[in-house]
Amino acid sequence: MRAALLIYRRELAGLFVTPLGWLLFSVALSVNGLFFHTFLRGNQGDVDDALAVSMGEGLSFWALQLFLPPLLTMRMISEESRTGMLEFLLTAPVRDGAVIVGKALAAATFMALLWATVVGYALLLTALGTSPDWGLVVANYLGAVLTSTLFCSIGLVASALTNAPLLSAFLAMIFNIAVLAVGLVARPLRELLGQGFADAILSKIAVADALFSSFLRGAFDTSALVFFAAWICVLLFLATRLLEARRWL
Amino acid sequence: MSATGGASLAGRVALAAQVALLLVLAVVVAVFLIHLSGRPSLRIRRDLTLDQRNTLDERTETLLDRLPEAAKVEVFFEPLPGEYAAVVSEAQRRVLRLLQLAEDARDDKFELVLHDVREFSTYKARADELGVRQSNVVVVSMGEAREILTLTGDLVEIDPGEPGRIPATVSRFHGESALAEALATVATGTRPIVYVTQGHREPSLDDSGNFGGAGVRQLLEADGFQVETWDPSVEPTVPEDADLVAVIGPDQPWPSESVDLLERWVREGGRLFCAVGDTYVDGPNSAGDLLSRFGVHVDRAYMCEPVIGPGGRQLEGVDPCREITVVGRQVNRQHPVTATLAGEGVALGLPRTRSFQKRAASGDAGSLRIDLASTAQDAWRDLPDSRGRFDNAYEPTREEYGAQVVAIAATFEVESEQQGRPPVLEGLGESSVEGRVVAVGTGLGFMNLALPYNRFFFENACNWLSERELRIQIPPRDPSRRRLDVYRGAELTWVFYVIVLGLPLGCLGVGIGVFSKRRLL
Repeated sequence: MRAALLIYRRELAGLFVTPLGWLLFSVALSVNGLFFHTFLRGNQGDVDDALAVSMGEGLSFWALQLFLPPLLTMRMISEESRTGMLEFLLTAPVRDGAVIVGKALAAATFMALLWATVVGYALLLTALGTSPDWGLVVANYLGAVLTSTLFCSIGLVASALTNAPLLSAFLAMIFNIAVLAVGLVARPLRELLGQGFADAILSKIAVADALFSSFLRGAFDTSALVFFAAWICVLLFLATRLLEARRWL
Repeated sequence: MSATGGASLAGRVALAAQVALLLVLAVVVAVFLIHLSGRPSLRIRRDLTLDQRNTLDERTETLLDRLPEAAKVEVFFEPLPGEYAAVVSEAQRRVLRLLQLAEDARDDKFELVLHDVREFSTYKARADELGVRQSNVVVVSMGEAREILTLTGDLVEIDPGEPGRIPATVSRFHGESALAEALATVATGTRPIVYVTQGHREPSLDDSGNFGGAGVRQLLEADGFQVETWDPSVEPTVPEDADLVAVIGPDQPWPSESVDLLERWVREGGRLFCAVGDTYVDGPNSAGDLLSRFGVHVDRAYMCEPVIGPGGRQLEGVDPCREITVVGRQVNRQHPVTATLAGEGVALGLPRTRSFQKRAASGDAGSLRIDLASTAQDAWRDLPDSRGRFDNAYEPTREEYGAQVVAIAATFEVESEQQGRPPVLEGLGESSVEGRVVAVGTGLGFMNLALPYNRFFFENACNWLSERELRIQIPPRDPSRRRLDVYRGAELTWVFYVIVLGLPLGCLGVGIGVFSKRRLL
């Protein structure tokens, strides 16, 4: 655990002591902020809807989920492998799982800080005299953080697959698109397997559905929590096994 | 093999297989855990919103719990073009959220099916199968019982605003109340039973000829009714299990006792469809006599309208003048019986029809009579001559010209009797009893030859007549809207400067600072 925390602090510091981290943060904030402002103006000032758009219902949210986690995680394993730093890490008395967990936590923290700025939007709106539904804001925030952690885990898997950071980022984006495109196969799946069986499969893999049916509605749901936790664990497990495999290749 | 050494091809394959197998096992475990976590006994769901928008009313939850079997709820939503597109879209979204909430709460008792209008052939086929002719409806069914809820009638109320100035908004949301009532109705009702009178020259339900009534039986059975016959001369009392009595074109008087009993039955909450006969119209114990007791008086004159002859000339004095055509704009757009017909080219085809007048009747307190359909403005009431013959020609000196009512609906409030309530409704809401009548000026319109022109009217009338109002009072859900003033004031400007400009530029500034510091170091 201590090792994981050490690696977590190192990675997080690495994200914020480089200009790249701040640049990414700035771009993400401007995209999200612009969408928020536009939606607020176009929706007659409905603050709850505008905050929900920024934390799950809007295009900006999903665009950021698609691109940002791959860019954050692309160097975490592949770059270290390319520069030879990974060998030191693997020979250190640190378990592979701790390495992966620490790196995943760091990327997830970065994303959590990004979504925390949307909570800052809510604070600003309160200061301006229109307090949002804070229960809804908290639920949306939880959902956004869990979704980001999932995509960061995908990024780590991609990073563990290759030595080239750009290739890793590209792979992660492809995986993310595949995850988000599950909804597109819903219809052919239902035709092929029947609605009941198809829906049972989709309920286990559709990320957007899990988010929309729970956190985005303002509900804390343990089944959605288990959904995200289970898939994050599977991905981190896979990343750990891929990292371990590097010892023998 | 060292930590950094290579492995043989076989070794790599073995490693890859091992990783794949472990991954498969991990996925299986994850799927299993996700499945377990969805079970109601293991799932915790807390509504964090201020207005509890994710929580069903306790009565709805109780009702779902008590349903004898799963209810199937099918949604037929389409986008609406034009100025109401946004408000209809919002209304649809809110209804879908409610339905998904109910499904999440009890997926063992609530099956939600969303029909996609983009798959139009499947959408239309299923809508036709369910007898849905409107757009934007929700169909709640259990077994053979079915209730159709309209989006902008039953589920939400829309304030149209002022086009170009004030946008339309959802003023009230009755979704949960309407859904609960529909569930209660389908849970308690089996197939409604309609008794069609026979034995007084009404069309026989077994007769497939032009003037037979086989079409009525087929139509009603296809629409989910159980069809039985009743001869008032044999048994004067209205059958106990009757939900609806249909009187179609009797041309002989009934026993007076049965007319009295039928009148009383309607006034105690019974439902009557009555299409008057052709030859015996308003004599004692006729259909007209029965209707007059409800304040609906049949006029003996036939309604006529000019027909287009050769060369496009308008003709009078010919038999086709008595074929009255009621088009969409001549029907009541508000009433459930005729609302869906308003957009039709031909809503009703009524041969040899009489017209109605509304007059006061005894026991009128709490009653309401509503015109359903009228003739065109160029129609007239054709009176018989001294020898009782009708000439189908307009005589200005003695015949009245202008639109006349040819179909009418009447309702009567009655005191609700405390009858045994089904267990599913114990403690939930109240039932209100209301007598209803739909009268049409001719029975010929519902015989086999003309029924295809009038089938939608007849189906709508029977469905409206067989409804039982079960009121479950769930307060309308109108989530409080927290809105920033984006039209006046400086709030939006603050949002722009802080959120769109300030935060990103601040981060960029910090990034530049970090970059500069690293360069210095």
